[in-house]
Amino acid sequence: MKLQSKYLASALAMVMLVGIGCRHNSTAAGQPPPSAAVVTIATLLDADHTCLTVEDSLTAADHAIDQLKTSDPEYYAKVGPLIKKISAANNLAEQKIKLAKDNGATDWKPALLAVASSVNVSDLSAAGVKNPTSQLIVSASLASLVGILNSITTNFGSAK
Amino acid sequence: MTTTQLIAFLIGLSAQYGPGLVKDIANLIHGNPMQPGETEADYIARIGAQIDADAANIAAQDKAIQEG
Repeated sequence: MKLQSKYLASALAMVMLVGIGCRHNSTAAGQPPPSAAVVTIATLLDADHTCLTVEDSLTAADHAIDQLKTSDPEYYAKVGPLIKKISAANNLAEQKIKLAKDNGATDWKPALLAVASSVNVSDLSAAGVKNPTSQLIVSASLASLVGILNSITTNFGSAK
Repeated sequence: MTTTQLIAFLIGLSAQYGPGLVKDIANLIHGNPMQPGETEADYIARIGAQIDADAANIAAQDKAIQEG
């Protein structure tokens, strides 16, 4: 118990030191805080990278699923439209982010959140793929997509 | 500590210490820091150009997916 308390105290001290360090860095002498425009563009870059990762994951999943057109037509018919739906929503979100960058439009965040809710993420599974090797490939492709879709709500679901 | 936990921790700090750290986090995550000697205007222009390029890339990939 004593040992645990020691560890807890050390961890707390470390967190406080990091916090103080960060605070000091962001207001360092001779380093004015970044302007609101810089913060905005960095936030938009964050959202932009998320869209890019979603699209890259979709492209990988689309290629993997395309291989199953003839061997697993039922699976292809089930997941193919979901991929298209997410891609269309993601393209729209990216266009909104670009508009926000160009003229300060503010509705990019709901569009990005709509990407995550465009499908039921739990429907994205490799269940139904008959060939075990194909199942592994599809499973890996979809895992990346599921991961990034879930991160959207975590990272952009609240005011940030 | 996993990367996700680290990011969550940093986001928590940004809420506590202000928007300056939000920029630092974005830079940390995506490796796009403001370069030495780069002005804010240059930085905004560079990141803006990257968003434009990414938007074009996404539109092309989306078109390919929609067309099957």
